[in-house]
Amino acid sequence: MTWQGSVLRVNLTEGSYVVEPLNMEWANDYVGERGLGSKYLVESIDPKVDPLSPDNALIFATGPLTGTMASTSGRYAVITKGPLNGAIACSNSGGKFGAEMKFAGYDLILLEGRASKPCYLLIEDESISFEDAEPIWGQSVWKTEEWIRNQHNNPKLRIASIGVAGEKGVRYASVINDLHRAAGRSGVGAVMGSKNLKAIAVRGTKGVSVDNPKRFMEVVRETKALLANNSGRKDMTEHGTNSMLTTMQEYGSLPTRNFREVQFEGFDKVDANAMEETDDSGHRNLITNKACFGCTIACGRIAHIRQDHFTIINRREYWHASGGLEYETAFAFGPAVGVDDIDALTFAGYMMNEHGMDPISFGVTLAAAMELYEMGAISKDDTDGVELTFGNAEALTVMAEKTGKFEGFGQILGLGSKVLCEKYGHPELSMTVKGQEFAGYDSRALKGMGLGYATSNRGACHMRHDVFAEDYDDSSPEGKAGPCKDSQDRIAAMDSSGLCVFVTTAWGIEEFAVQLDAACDGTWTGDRLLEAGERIWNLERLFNLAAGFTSADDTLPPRLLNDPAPTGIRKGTLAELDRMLPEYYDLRGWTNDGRPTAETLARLGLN
Amino acid sequence: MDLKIKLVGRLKEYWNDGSSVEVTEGATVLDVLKQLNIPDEEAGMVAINDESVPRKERGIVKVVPGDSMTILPMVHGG
Repeated sequence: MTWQGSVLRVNLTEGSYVVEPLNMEWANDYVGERGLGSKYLVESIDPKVDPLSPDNALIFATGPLTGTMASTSGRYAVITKGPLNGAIACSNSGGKFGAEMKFAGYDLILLEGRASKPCYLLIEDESISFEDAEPIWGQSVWKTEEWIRNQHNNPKLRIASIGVAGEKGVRYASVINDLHRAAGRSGVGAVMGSKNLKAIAVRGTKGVSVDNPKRFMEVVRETKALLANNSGRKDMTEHGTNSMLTTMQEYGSLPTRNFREVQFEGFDKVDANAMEETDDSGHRNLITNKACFGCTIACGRIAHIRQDHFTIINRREYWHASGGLEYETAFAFGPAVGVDDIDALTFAGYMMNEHGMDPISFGVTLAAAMELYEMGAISKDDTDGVELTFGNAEALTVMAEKTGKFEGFGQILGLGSKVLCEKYGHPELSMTVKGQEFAGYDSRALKGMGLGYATSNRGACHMRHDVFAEDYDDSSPEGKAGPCKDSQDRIAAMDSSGLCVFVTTAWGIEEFAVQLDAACDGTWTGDRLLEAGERIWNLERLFNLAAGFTSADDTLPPRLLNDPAPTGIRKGTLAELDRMLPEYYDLRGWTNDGRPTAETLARLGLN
Repeated sequence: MDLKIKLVGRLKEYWNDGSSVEVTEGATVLDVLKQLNIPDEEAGMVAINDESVPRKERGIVKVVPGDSMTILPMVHGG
């Protein structure tokens, strides 16, 4: 079977571990990765637990297709109760770590307790040891990876680690693997830091078996061909996800200057074309693209910064190539804060990877701080003397580094937009849902996106639903609830497979199902996956309800509900959430106050 | 008659021959997409004079002289 059948349960308090058989009943109901990890979390912790206490659990979970020949099979997820907002957190990542963890023989690594001193976990197949991380505590992700490989004289170790941001509890700290792939959102890195766990280093040699190898190779070949021939895939390969920026600009859904505006005059200085242009000095921001394990898309960008740019002119350590701008980093460091200096954006991106932070939450928090600064609610006395105005590239790069190192005003920015805006008396300026910052899509122009943001179980997130086609079709809130709910269930299942949702440019649920059916025991159909997705969604919802969230948290900031989109194709429109939410609850089989009914729970086996 | 055209992103690979195109009187949105060699499913959104045209009406809505058409590619996530 394509699951390895093993869970590595680690007690960090005691410095002990046990390898348990995977609960196959749960695997059949929750698939893997996001779904299965969430099930293990729900069964392991009290939903009301302090996310940064030893009583929280941190789970690294692969999916059944992780490490197989399927395209994009490098995914794993980190699941925990998130410290940014107290909701269930699940952040997935690519790179090569997830496949290596599977090759070592583990579907899940479940970490409990808190180590008495900084440590990292070294896993080489069945050999597992707790190693001293004191020498690298306080060091960056990049130095940590290098140090651990050197320490064990093993360049084949794959490493997931945290930087100072995670150690110090930046509420949106990430877990970074393979230098610049991130389980980015919701602060999973801060939970890892709270456990005194600096890294997990893994080397596996076992491979992954599938149920019907001949059939599996046939369907993998067919689905890869579909992907290869798809124009959306081609666009992501050639231009990366940042090609989205121009589209959102033209449509009028590119959040600008803390969502006051929806179009950015400097968009063409930070978009995919700008990355690909060679300037007068011969410098080109983009060097090449890069793929994660098994991926046939290769949307990743490798870039470098002009050596005479103010950020690095006297810092040779940054004269190298590293992870470049993707759409969300370009949005969060560009339009969201009004900066159009592509090298400054790229440097801020380096800071996120080096110190381990979520660029979306950092950028949108900084945008709120800039608005607070411009309205006089904070001053240079608060910001370490930095002029925190929109468009100030130096403010972006200085604050990115300060937050990553948990210094000065960066310690306040590290608490996230909601806490920042409440602290300075303007909670209405926080562009968040359930305390998590928005991605780069304005929900006045994209109504279904707004509903998806409002109901996302981890707080505002653009990767939990896909209503673009319906949102493009018209500006009405009518007809958006159904596609939003259906896509949430579909993506929950896809996120649990071990594959990347970027394949959805070419694949639907059936393409996932045929590969799972060939790889796994039993019969896997699209309908079975959609039911699993709905079960996962409701499981996450139940966790949040038990943690204290209510239907009142399924909302959007007043700016999006009350201030019409100032420009763009949807000029004059509002988010109109109240015209979608009741229908959404009804379609979900939830009560008027957003709780799953007994019938819904029984239908999904959740009672 | 002349129609002003703005193609965004990868759609420029289908047609990249200036900012206007000569179309016949009575041409529908779908006719224009065919003339530009853009598959219907590739056009995520079509707007005429900044008003979006629902997909089901692309074969019905006609362009008139002086119209400006913006076409965006279909997108997923990001």
